[in-house]
Amino acid sequence: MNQGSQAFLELSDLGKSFGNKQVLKQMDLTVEKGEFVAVVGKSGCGKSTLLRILAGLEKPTDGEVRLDGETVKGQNKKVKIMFQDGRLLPWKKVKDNVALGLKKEEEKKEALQMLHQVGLSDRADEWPAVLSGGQKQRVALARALVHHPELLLLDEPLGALDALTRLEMHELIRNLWEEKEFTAVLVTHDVEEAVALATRVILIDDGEIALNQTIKMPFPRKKDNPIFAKTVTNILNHIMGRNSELKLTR
Amino acid sequence: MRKSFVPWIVPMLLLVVWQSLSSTGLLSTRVLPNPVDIVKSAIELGKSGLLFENIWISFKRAALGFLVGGGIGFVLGLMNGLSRVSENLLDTTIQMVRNIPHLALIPIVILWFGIGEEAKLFLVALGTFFPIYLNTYHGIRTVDSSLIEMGRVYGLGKRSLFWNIVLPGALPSILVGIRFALGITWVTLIVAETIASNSGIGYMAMNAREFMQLDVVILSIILYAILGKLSDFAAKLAEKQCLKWHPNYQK
Repeated sequence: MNQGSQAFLELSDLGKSFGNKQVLKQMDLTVEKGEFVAVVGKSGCGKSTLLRILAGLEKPTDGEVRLDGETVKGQNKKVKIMFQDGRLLPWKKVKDNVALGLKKEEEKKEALQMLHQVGLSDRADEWPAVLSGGQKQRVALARALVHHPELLLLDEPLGALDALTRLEMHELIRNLWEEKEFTAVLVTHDVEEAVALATRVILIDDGEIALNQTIKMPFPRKKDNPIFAKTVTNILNHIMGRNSELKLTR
Repeated sequence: MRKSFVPWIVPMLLLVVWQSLSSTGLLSTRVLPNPVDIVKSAIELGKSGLLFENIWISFKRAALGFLVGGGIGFVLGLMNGLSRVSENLLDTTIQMVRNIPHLALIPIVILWFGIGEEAKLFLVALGTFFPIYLNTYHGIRTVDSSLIEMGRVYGLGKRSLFWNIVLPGALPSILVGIRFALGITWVTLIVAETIASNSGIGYMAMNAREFMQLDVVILSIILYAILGKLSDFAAKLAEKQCLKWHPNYQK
């Protein structure tokens, strides 16, 4: 594939309004195959809506999204989304949750293997209700990855987890991303998380891309690295900076 | 072991008090026959085969009425829960009919069907229809829409969406409906059998009343209680089996 001429994911002139409220405004963005893009922004900035459009769960009001050169219309097999609340089926055992939507026997075996990769093969026969928050999200991750998505969308998947579990999950997600070579778009409100995982951080403010910054630090990224701290501060300043400007003009 | 004994202490005590009041003559057997006499008459009726025949007849009526009424309620609940068209067409009518107390229909039911089996079947079916209809419908309507969205993302078609997400999600509510309907089944049957019948437990009680066989009357009442309790127990077991995944049913 000629990556130079054709981007994997292309947003052109993308807009979305709910009634009178415009949530996304003329957004243009291209993402290459294999990138890990983190989308940050304050709550209500439209980042989750963007992700839902990418997943085909919402239709854009203007513009379009192209995946591999094709316009995205509705849900796409190449795309899987992992939700903030996991959305495991409480009435299915862990292994059956991972195997949801799989039909062939070999695929079901693969589900067990994927469970092993997220470190939960010993919980395969448990009900989701007995798992901890972090374990639930790992099951949700396995369920998404067993479909071999080319584009994995992560909607604040770690939002409800404690700090230590988050660090573990960061490492797991990063390892799986390197191994499976999918493209990822992560929506998060945690700038540190974005900088720890992403090859590019996009800041959305008021429905527009306010910052589009490539991050070139090698993995694994350590928080005590001065460049890490500087990048985080820089992005945070951008978020706050625009905010204070707005206040002044009011 | 000890724990399972505790709930039985009070009923046992009551039985002992009842028996001793009766044998000391403080409680006239014309008002309330004592437990020993009731057991005796149960054994007698059991020997003649009349007891089991009547129990079997009543059980059959309850089961058949429940299956017919509950079955129709379940199907309509599914239809109206899943399809807006069906809901628009049928729900208002069903809700209107629901407000008629089904036991109020007894006079007209007797006119239509006499005191035959159809009358009992009709009344029990009508009584069990509504709780199962309502709970099925409500259960399907309140299935977490985010789970359905998730199912779509993960490639489930309409059919597997129903079997994997909608039905299991509605099941807790449906089971509540079933338990409720079982209660109504017995109440309806008791009324129908006492008023218009020539067989069954209710008939046995009414027949005994004419001959002042108070022990048989009490026995019939106890039989109804036992049958009601047994069906509730069965429903509870089914609940436990079907809702193993539910945190409330674990352990």
